[in-house]
Amino acid sequence: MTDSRVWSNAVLPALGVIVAIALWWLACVVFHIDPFYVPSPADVVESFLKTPQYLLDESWVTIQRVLIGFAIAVTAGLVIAVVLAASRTVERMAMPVLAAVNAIPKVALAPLLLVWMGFGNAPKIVMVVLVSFFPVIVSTMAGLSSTPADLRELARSLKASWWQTFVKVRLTWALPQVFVGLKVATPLAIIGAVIGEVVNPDHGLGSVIAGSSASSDTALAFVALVLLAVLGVVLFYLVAGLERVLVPWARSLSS
Amino acid sequence: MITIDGVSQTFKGRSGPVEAIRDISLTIGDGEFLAVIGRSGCGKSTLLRMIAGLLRPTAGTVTVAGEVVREPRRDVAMVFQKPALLPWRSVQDNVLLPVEIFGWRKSEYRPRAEHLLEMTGLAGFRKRLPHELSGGMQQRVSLCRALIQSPKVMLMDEPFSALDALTREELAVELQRIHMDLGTTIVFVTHSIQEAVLLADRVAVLSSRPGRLRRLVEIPIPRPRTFGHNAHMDQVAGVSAELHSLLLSDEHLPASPRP
Repeated sequence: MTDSRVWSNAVLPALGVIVAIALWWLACVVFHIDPFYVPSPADVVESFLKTPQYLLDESWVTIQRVLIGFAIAVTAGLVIAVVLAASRTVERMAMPVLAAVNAIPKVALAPLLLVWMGFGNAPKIVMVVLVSFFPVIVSTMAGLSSTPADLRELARSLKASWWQTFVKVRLTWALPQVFVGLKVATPLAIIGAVIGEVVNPDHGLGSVIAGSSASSDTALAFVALVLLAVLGVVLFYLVAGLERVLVPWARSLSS
Repeated sequence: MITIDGVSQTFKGRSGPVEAIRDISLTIGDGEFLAVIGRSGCGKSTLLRMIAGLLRPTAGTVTVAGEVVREPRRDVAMVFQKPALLPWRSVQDNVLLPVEIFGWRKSEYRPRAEHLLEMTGLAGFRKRLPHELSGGMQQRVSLCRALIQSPKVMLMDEPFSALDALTREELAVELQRIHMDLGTTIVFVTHSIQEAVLLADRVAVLSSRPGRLRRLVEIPIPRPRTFGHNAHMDQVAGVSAELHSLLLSDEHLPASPRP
């Protein structure tokens, strides 16, 4: 890495985070905000250090739910998108249903999931899947239908089979778009897990937030929020990193 | 090698049928280099796509190597206006794409791919990705990809038209050399008179809307031909002028010799 890349990839983002925390702190001090409403960064750190192991354990619960749900959503989303892209008939039939499912406010489903699946991991994971599968489908389909005309013509002139064209041309061509969907779906997966945990608390950071409001521990709620934010950022950059490894050619296409 | 017999093509447009090609008949010999020239929209590409089997004629038949063309053939290769390379594949893997699709053994064709890349001056670029190459080099790769399948016929659809003037000339001279070496039958669609005169044995001049065969012009200049100063400049100028006036004269007159 050259100096300028270290600067733009590490120093600048870190600086942004530090400035944001400083502004938060400054606002707390300057406006004399009661820590009960908005705790300062110091209060949040202090609150975390009271029970670090407990909070990390709860984070781990949420992380597992997010990862399992996200993996299911991505797999299902990709498979559904491929099926829809393969058949116009199926696409025409299924798209309104999928859009309708996506349009349902997922919070409204949480009580139903409780009835159907009870407590525990299952309803939370289902919530993650429900919230995050749609962007994967939409972006993958957009990618699959964006194959340039010249590449399609090339495949036809070589008499490539549907499957060959699909695997060797269309699917790879769609990857950059798939990653757009994955990046949208990553934070949604976390939101899904938290919805599930807040509405139907047992463990996880969402449950911590739900419990903290019962005990009026605002600082604890903020700790959970900060941990969720960190989780979101880490997951997002993991996906972005995976994109760099898998589709290094995509960045050069747009330039 | 190729017989085009009374071929017409009419597309269904939004405001009624559009006649793209009307009743073209033409025979292209084994190893011949035929240039097809005409104004934009005269159906040059349509004609090429019908020879390729990508488009079925509305009337008439196209025969390649004695068989009526109904679908793309493995001994007919196409080169498009754009290089149409897969951006995630290295130069070598792009060249080997037809081999993969035909289910041939890749290891058997790797030496041939190497040889073709060497022939087109790309030997040092085997492992590069397409975006690392210039436009002219990319089009060379697509030429290699067409040649890997040892085609009897190569169909080229304005392959150099997206390149700058000097690169075009360079590639045209290179194509001439490849044609002389391999003896492949080539149908070369272009709107450049200069390219047609450099490369072709005969030039088919099409009139526009609908595309009809206006005239077949022989280019009896011996090969290898060159741009710039050469021994046949008078002939080149003469044929070029003839093609010019054919292209610029009233398109809607019947295709008969002008007074």
